[in-house]
Amino acid sequence: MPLYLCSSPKNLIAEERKPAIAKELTHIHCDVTGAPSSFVHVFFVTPDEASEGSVSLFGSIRGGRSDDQKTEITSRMSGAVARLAGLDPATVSMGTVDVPAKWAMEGGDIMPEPGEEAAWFAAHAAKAAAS
Amino acid sequence: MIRCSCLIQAGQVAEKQQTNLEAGLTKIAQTYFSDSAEVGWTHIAKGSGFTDSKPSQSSIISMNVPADTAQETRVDVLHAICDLWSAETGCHVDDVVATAMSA
Repeated sequence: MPLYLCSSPKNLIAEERKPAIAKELTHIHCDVTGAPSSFVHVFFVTPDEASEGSVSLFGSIRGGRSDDQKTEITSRMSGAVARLAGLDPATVSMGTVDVPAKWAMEGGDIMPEPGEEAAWFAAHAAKAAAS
Repeated sequence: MIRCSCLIQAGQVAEKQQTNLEAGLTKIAQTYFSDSAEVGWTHIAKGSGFTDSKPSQSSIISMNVPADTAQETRVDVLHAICDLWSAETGCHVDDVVATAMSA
């Protein structure tokens, strides 16, 4: 968590562009929120019901981000997808949903609240070392 | 009905394992919510899943649970999902992301 799900019709986003898009979305998330990049998942899907010629980007992010942060994420990410995929920006839409950190588990541990990642990683590493 | 959404990397889970995972999720739903589970699968095509900007090995399982579910129960459910995935697929627990969501 976060998970960014990028939905588009098949072949609208070239396969060779996906690594660069994933890298840029990961960078933007970390730049805006300060979250560690190892938490960031970017998956591309091609659902049957995808609208022709358009991309839908949806982010499930930990709760606690400010409205300004979410606005910046949405603006920068949708622009990045359009630029890197060679698409008209008007064809890229984006939304986010807040997921309470305490409702999510990664690596067998409840996810930390934003800003508490360092302590989480230390505890996670200690647990792994002890097992 | 407890709805579950599973995003897995294509080729990472064999058909038989997927059947067992679905049975395991149903059992979790029965155990904690006395309800059946409806499981949806999305296979992320090779080259389409990234974690930390690198090719992903992560599975993401989201179970929609009743809004009044206590936090302690959510934690138990999440551990049960992670344990199920690790045991059935042999993946490292670091490659399992689970959520117990409510609307």
